[in-house]
Amino acid sequence: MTALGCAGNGAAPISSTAGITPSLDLIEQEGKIAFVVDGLVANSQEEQGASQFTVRVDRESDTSAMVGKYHREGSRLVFSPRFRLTPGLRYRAIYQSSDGSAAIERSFSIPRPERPSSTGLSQVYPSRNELPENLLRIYLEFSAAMSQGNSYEHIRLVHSGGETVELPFLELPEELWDRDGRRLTLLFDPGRIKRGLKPQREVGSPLIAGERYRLIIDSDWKDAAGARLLAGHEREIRVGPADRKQPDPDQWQLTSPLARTREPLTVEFDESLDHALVKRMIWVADPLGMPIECEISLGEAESRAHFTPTTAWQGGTHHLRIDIDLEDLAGNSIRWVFDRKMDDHGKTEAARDETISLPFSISAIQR
Amino acid sequence: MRYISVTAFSLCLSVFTNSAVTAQASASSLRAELSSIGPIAFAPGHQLLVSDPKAATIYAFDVAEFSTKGFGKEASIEDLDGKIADLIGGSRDEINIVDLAVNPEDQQVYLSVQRGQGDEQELLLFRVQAKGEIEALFIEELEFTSATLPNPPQPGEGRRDRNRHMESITDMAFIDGQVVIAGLSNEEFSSKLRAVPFPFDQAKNGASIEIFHGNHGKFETNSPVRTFIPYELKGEPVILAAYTCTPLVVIPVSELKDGEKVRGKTVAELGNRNRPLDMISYEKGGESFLLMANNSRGVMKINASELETQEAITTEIPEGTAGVSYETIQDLQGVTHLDKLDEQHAVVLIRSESGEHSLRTVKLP
Repeated sequence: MTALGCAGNGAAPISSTAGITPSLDLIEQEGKIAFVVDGLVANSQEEQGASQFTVRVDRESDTSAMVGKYHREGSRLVFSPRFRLTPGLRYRAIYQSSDGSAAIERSFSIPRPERPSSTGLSQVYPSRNELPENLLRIYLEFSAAMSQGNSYEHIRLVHSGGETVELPFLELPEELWDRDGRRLTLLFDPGRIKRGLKPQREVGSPLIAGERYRLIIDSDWKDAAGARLLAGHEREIRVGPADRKQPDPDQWQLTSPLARTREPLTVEFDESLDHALVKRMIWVADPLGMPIECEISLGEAESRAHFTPTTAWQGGTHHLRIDIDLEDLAGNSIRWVFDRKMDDHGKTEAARDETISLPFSISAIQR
Repeated sequence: MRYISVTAFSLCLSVFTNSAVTAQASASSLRAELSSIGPIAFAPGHQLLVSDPKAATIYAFDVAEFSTKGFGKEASIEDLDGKIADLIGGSRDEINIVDLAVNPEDQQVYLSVQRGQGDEQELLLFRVQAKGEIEALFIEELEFTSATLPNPPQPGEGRRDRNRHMESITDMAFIDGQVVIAGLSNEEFSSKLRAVPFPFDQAKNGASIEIFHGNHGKFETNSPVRTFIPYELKGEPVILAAYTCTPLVVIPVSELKDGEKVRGKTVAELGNRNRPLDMISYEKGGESFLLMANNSRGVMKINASELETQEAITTEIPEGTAGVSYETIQDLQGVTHLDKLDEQHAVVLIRSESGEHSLRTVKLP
């Protein structure tokens, strides 16, 4: 147990009986901060709880006492807050002996460490300049974990004429972050994209073909550590016609690498695909059907992927495996069009885990 | 050349064809360690269901020991965020109230709360008693059972950089002996309901069901479910589900079987800017109603008695209400969550324009 030299602030004892001068301080106990009254009569078991000793957040208005546990250690009465203290807040501790003979009050500030900005928006997907009118998703990638809960306040879609597009995205209280809190998925309101729905008929698609927009991310957005973004960000979006064509792996071009090298397998898609789903839903299987660990990188506005193995390729017939739920930028998957006609079931009867296989052979000889 | 492969490549596919739910019973040495906190709900017998979306796990905490007089019919708490912050020694802007649920056995209000961000986040549960007294629950001291939902699809074992997929939990409810969970992916556009038998039992697998959503008999998507409630229609247990793109849909509980693909029957279209947040059902004057909170209007009161006779919407209705009728309760603005307190009252969480929350009891309209 060590006494903390920091941050004490405030009143001397209001009163004390002769011979007893209780003091109030912060200590660190098992990595957590606790509040301690010292100088109590060692053998007295009387003072041991919330009726004598309370700690509150120091605010102008009345606040309730914090939750925590009390225990006596000889001449000390220790209050261990149940939850962590917040840097930057002031806490007021009050001790009053049960017989009224001693009272002491003191405020403590928990220092807030300086946190300079270091987090930036590193990538916006899709990276294509021209996007379909029925674009379904935008991914924002940050260099570090971001704060969550108020994300939509920091994102605006502005038409080239200056008007802000009203509610273009589905504002979900859950906010669609990845596990690390570094990538946010923005879903365009599907009710305004799907044909025939009331929102679509009443207000139309958030993006209009032939128009230009700016996606604006403001720098007030804080990262998970509480620091603002290094800079705001603007991305211009040109909007092209709606895309209601499914990705077609029959049209993909595969360029095979040579055996005993770690050259990438290059796959040219027939259109730009959702970058996150390419990384999750396409993989390479070796001649025995076992998946090969590959780094996947995308290029040409997500219309090309490179699969670089972590160990050299072996010769033989490999397969590119593609989950048929793989989607393009407008949510059209290999299985079906995003908003298909109800009598057009596509591959609806197919199993959920269906895959498509594209064979390619790897040989040691340069063709 | 290409071919379709369903069963080949079994090593890899087994990862995502397996929809088994693993469950564990509580042991005194185990502590519930949540990695995130999402929607909460109640199952019979004071079982507080708490979702951990990041870990794809549902916990059931036994809160019978806390049973006492529940939230009063006249009770209200202003500045709920501030009061929670005081209790835990934090600042108001750290507090994110995630969900509320009323324990139907004693009418206490339970809240799931996230405090802070990143490495400093704390995941908290609170209960609110008769006169608005708020108490923190010490999660690590509670007995629990849990069920882990099937992993979201992770094809391509042996690849790198594929772990960014997350399935949020948008709503959860105990329905007819099972916990039903609606999820929303941060990648593919899909709608899955998962159903786990309750009490959680390792021997019983859960089910994963794909839901399709049509409109006007023309187009369909597998749009995600936002909120849902158990309901009985013509004596049959159903799920009334509200989609992110506004229609209200009926799904028979009997169709919630593993691997099934279910097409919900659209019974109402609620119009633009009307994204559902939360929903309850109740009876009044011999009629059934739904109360639905949404993000940009007052709470909507929907005449559910009409569901008995409402045919699926198969034709486009150009203006006004499509399907069952509803009215907007103008007095109730800013409601983000609601739950039924008793047959005459609901508890609502209201967000003011400045972002402050209040908890109030309101008479069911």
